[in-house]
Amino acid sequence: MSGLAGVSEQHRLLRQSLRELLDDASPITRVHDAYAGSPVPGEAWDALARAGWLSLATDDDGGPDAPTTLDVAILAEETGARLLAGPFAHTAAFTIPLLRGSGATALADAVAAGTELVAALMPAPGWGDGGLRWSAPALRRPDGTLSGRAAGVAFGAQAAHLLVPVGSGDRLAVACVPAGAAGVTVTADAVLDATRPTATVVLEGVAPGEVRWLGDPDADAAAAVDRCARRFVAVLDGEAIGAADEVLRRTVAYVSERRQFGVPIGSFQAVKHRLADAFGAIELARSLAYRVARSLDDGDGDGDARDLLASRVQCASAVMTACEAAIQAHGGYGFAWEQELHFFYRRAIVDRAQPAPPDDVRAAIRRGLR
Amino acid sequence: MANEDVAAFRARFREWVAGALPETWRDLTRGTPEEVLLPARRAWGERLHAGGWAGAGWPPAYGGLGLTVEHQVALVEEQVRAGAPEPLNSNGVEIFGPVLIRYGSEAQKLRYLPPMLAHRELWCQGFSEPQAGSDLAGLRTRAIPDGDGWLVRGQKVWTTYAHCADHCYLLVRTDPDAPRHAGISMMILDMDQPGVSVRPLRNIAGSSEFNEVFLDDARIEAGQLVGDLGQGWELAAYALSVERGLSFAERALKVAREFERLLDMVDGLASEDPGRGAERFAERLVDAFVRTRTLHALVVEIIDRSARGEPLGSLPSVAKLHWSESHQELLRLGLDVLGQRVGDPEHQDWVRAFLFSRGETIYGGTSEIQRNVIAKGLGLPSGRAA
Repeated sequence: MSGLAGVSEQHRLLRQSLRELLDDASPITRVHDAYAGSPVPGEAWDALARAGWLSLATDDDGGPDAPTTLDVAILAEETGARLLAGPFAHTAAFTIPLLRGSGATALADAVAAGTELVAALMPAPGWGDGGLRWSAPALRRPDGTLSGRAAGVAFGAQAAHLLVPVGSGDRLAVACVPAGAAGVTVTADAVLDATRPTATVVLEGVAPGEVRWLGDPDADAAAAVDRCARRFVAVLDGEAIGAADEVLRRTVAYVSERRQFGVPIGSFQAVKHRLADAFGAIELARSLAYRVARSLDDGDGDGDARDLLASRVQCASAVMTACEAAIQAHGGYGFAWEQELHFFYRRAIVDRAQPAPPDDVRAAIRRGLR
Repeated sequence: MANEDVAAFRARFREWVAGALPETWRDLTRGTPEEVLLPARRAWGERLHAGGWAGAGWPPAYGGLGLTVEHQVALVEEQVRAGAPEPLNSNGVEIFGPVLIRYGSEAQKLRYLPPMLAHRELWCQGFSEPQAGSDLAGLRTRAIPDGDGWLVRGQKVWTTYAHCADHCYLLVRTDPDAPRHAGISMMILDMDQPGVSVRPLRNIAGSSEFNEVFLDDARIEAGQLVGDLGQGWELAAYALSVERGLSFAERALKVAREFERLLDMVDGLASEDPGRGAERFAERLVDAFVRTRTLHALVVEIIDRSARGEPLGSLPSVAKLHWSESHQELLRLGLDVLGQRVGDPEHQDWVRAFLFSRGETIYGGTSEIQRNVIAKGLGLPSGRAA
């Protein structure tokens, strides 16, 4: 279904191999297991890490064979379609590249191998000085302590370390803080999506001795944070598109089989038109998301930042639209726990607020219009 | 020219447009009064031709430039950027031209294509009939053999620019006993003859660009059948597919420019009434922006895939649907921005463009038909009675 301009030659092979791995490691039964209380991220995450899939994106020149952002975003359609239990976009597109880029090689390797889990407190997009600006969830006070707060932190209660963008004067630095450090309070949220549990993290006067700075805390890491945060958005968009495709695929199959009034319900225009609209929303999302990913690969400047935000809005809403059309078209079954559609809907509800709530993303677009 | 670097080609065309396109022809909309719009569209078509920029995708043998898709896109984007009007003969050049190039005889191509491109002969499309709209294959206009040609009897409707066209590419039924789709042929009709009468229809915006065409033993010569007898449906399907090509892209990309005009309008009116500025309409402006950017991305994706020869599936229908509905929304937002100033003479082109836009979800395949096409592409079962 995807147009492949700008995708590297090895992409097809990569995708096929990821699909096979996920067929084996992340069947839908694992999603049921997660809701039944199996620990996450679980075996599927470990398998993905062991096979090297978390190290796809780098924040430096990985050479001509390194996957592009577009490659990673399209591969994320597979993890999105499987509701992989783990913070794939966060880890592969943001955390690991940021760790590697700042020389924290050992920790990056451990995260990539799946032996350490680091939860990222995501910076929030805003618009200022004529461009996209990311605001940090924490501040460094004059006495060197860290304070801040972040909601909706993916796997915050499961991670041993927190990756924290820190505002320091007018600069951005990046710190790594043990989740158990004094002054850190991590409160698990109610479980909405068991494959992607979230937490609220409060930092209150975390002492300098607890903080590991990635790079020089007095240097400005805004450019690296900007690159990685944009890449996170592109890959999260990929996960949303993959989930929306899967939901629509399931629904087309269902309405083609399910008969009422002596005919398949998919032959009724009322059903067709709603699914046609869902398809349209997905393809519009895909076109813009791919365009944004390509522009990140081409190193285009701020000119495309509004498109990045618009893509986030469209992808987040397309998967909601697809889920809602699917639930309606499945009738009573769509409303049933066993039908599994709500797993995708729950993921969509959680992810639409990443890296910032929809209204904040829209506010940034609004300020960027003129 | 076809070997020229696209960026250099683009720069050269941009410079030419800057000198060739008068200010008064820029940013005309479908709401611009006809007495201004039509002459500007015709003159722009003539000027593009005289400047050597017309027929970008046509083979050089028929006056075209034989350019790559990338070059063609550059021409479209630069015209949109400059706010240039759509050439008056675009229905001929962009839709029937490719049909003739693919299916016409050599004599037909040499006779009809060069004057079409030069805007010396204007064309209209004779497809819809009073009883055959979305169900086009139900058309009833008959062509009856007469000597070595045909006599045509019937009626066409919604025929844009029939009142100023020299020729019409016409769908007619040549075999009433054949299955519906197999009995249709495409023919070239000369408009200036006793058997053809044209009655203007006034549209919702008050202008009369489309017409009823009554055919009462209108004469068609042997050399005016396009393709084979009974091949008309295939030709019509091809015409509709190219209608979704670059000329559609031009319309779609124009929406981005209209969005900028909307922002100008908001700022302009806010200077008189600060309470009615961008903040008041913020949510809908963001919606309009997202729609505009997704439309742009999809249209570029479609052009790109066509250039690489990849299948498009139902994406053209998604684009038509999204363009027409987004355009209506954008113009509607402009009405809300105008508020009680909706009668302001200065803004009547916007209001008329809004009224005209109601047709955009109807012509070229209604939104309902487009959704059916998309559903078919998804593999959903047919609901039509056998």
